[in-house]
Amino acid sequence: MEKGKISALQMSVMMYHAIIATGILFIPKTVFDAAQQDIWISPIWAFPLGLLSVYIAYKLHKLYPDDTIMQYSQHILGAFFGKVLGLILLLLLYTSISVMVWQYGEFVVSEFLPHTPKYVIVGMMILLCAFAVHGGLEVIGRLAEMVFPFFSYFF
Amino acid sequence: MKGLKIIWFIGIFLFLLTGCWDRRETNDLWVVTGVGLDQTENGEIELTVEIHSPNRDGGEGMGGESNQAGGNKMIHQTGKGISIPKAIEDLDTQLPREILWSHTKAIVINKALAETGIREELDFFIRHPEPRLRSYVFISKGSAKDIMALLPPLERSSSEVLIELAKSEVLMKVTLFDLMEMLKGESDAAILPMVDKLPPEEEEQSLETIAYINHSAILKNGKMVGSIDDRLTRGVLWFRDEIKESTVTIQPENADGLISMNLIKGTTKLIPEIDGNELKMTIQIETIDDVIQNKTDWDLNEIEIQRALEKELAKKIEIRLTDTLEIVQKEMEVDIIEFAEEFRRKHPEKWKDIKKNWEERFPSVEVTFDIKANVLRTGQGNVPW
Amino acid sequence: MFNRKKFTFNKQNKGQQVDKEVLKPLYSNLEKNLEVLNFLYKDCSDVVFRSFVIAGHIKAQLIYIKGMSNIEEIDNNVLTPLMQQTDQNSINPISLIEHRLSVAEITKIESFDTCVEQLSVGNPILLLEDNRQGYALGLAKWEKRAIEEPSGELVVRGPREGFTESVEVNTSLLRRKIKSPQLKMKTLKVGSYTQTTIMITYIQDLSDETLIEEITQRIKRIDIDGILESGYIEELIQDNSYSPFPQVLVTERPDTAVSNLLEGRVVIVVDGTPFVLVAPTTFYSLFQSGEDYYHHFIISTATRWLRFLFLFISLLLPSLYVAVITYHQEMVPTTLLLTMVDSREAIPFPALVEALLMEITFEGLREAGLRLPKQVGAAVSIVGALVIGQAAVAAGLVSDPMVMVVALTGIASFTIPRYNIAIPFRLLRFPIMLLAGTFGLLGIMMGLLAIIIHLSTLRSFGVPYLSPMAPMKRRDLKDTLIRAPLWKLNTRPHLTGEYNKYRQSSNQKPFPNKNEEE
Repeated sequence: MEKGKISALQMSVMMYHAIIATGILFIPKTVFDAAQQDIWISPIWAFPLGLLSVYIAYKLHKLYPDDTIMQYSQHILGAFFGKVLGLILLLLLYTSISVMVWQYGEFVVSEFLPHTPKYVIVGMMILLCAFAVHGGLEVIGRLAEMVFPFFSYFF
Repeated sequence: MKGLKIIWFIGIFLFLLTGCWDRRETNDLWVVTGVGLDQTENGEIELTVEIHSPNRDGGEGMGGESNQAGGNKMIHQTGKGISIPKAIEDLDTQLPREILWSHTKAIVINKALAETGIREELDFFIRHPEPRLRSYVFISKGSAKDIMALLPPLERSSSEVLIELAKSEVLMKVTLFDLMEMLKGESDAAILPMVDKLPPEEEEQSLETIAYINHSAILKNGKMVGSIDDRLTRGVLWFRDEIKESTVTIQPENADGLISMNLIKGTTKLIPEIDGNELKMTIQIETIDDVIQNKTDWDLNEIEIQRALEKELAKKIEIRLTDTLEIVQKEMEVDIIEFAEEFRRKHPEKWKDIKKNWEERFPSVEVTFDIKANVLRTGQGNVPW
Repeated sequence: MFNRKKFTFNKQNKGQQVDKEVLKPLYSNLEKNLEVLNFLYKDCSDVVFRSFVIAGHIKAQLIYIKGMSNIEEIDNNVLTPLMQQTDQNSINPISLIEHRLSVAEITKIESFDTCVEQLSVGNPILLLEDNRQGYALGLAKWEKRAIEEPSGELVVRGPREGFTESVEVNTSLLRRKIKSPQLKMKTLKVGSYTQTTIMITYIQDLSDETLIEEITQRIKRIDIDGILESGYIEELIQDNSYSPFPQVLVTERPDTAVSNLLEGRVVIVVDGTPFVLVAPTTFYSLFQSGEDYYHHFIISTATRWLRFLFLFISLLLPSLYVAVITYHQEMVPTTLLLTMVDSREAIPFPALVEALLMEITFEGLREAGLRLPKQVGAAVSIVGALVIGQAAVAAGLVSDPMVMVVALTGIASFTIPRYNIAIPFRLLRFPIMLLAGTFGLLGIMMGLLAIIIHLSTLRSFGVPYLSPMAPMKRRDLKDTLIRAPLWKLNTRPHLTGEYNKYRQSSNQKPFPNKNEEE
């Protein structure tokens, strides 16, 4: 485990990027199908729900300040169920990353480069991610802070 | 570090092994600036594209020699097919280069085609990623191919003339996006500018002229049902709160001579009202005009005379609007003045009932006018009599 | 303070013997001393051995290197008083030297290695018979360049003086600006042959002790035969040596060096070069010019923004042109696109090749312009202008817009005040151009992101390169993208560890005294 230290601001900016970037591609369509022209209300309804999950994460962190989610789920649920939950979390991570990468590739191919094979575009993206991850957590935090002004300007 | 090296190798190979899949050099492109849609006798679509032809000498060079007459730079090609994509396929066989649709800014549809319905044909322009929703749509009186084939003496191309005309907003200006909205709206009526060939000057060649907008085509359920002239079009613009340019000339009752005024600002509010079973609409108009010519002996600096003038102006606008209503509401029975949308917004519950037989009820909507005209400036000086 | 690193002569060439001799203390026998020195300076025709006699009976020897000592002063202040001494009774060599020599700086020498050291600095050495001590006379004088305006860092407003090749002059320039004894200078000698003097300059209590220690350690670690320029030091002490981005600031201007000292940074002065190093440095400070602080803050802020704008132009403009013209034709206004299509019609190359061709030509011309003798410079600039201008267009090799793009890019890269940060961006332009040619705007974004990721990984002596933007230090933002008014710049930028935070008292905004006006 690499011991990087990031500030609270970096953490929040990273979260912002992750949520907006994945959300902007598919949330509007799904929500619009359900809510039609009243779509503007949906974030207000979603807000307390999001707050709740953040609150839970925060409380858990307060309880086990030095542990990762894998470690404290074992504390809470016991060794076996904790490991099962950890496995589920890892699977969730794996599938959601696959979905995100696929969405990204699909978006680029359909909108900008219709003739370019998707594996090239996805491969480029993954390479770039690998480059960033190679630098470590601190680097990703700094990167997020660095691109935040541009990003928030466009969305 | 070994991992990093492997990543670098993958990266470099990924980069080197790529072709340029989506690369399109401008030398291999034909930029379409305008499209004309016609209907052939056997019901096929005839698609005419106006293509910019790059001059062969590679730019102007350094001497700054001027271009030849703008019209010579355009090429026109026609393809036929049972649908637009088929017509484009036909076109592709004639053109050695790829067609770039993203700069299509004018779409001209022939009247005959419009009468059979345009909704299905426009679907292509909306679904295809390249054409822009900001392109302007026109209906042509004669064949759209002829309009496209014109060689305007000043502008670069016929479509540029059309775009500039639409942008000037003297009459209707409808983009593909606006048209989409209109066709999707509650009333399902649309109004489009109608173009015709301006008769060329006598000594000039028959093609060296421009198209101009003088009418507006009225569409109902995506099919053209009729047209109105420029005067009534401005009336419609008043209703739709889109009026930008208008010159009103009035003959005051107790004066000989005319006074012309130029519109500075005009805002229209439609206030719907449901009184039992009766539908009522109040048209609230506020307008500011400047006097630009005074041929009477009125002294416009006097307040009373200004008030009288304002009254005359309001009356004049009202006459125009009632004339418009006469044709649009009573005769054609097409709701291009967007009453339906107003009713829906104000009375969303009752609207559900009204909507079912809106077509029958629209002509019976009672319209009252509330026009406030202001003449603010009377010009810098008078001609001393 | 001296780094007593011994001379390590080439081991294969009787080095052992020389090493041994050099470490020995001086003998009391003058003949023997001379023998050793003659051995050391064998075949050195620039070393002068002058033997003379004081007061008729004390043998003495004066040794100096031609061209490095002030011969007039040797004549007047050393030889004349000693040789004209006639009082034979009270001859005590030590009092002689103390009473008779009108030389300000006299150092006693006890071993041969100090002897060699003093000689090579230019100080003449006086050896007396029957005396275990020698005397180094501070009469060094060699030809050096006068203090001139630095040609690489011109300013409109600001001091016109620049560092020179001499380390003494350079440190004196610093000392003249900072009168406080808190200004400390540590001397190190690096280079087994060149024995180059390196001064680590800092202000005590403003700089972090651990930072100074770290820099000293890194310099001490260097084992090289020679240091010819501060670039050697820079390359041997920077954190990430594979990065094209400079992690040390290089300046020729004493005022820039002093302002950095006052911010708690360390200035490394290297003998033999007018370029001093400033460490640690951050990305944003490389875009600052000393002049920013001499002009009004609004103007300086605007200038900084202009620099960043042109930074983007110099990095991205050719790539954007290539991407737009080959992938995203819909992004150009129709009229402009039609004009571009016209001018590109007869060009045989793809836009990417065209751009590469022109950019490489431009870089070649720039490089040629730097190296050319002044007499032919004008001819080359005319030919160059023709090559990347009219002629290329007329020959149908490139299009008109491309010429404009290249010209703008060229100008843009010169707006960056520091040459060493402009170069990596100029270089990175080419890979981004290739990316733009293969993936369009997507490729440009990828390249840009890769650069930002790389910049985020960099550190300069422990300080994150992109600070204070990432990691965000809100207090330090006042002097990055904007230049806040001087009366707002109350705190020093935070570098590492403990530091002296406040640089001035707050509330210094000037205001007219209202009572006086009444």
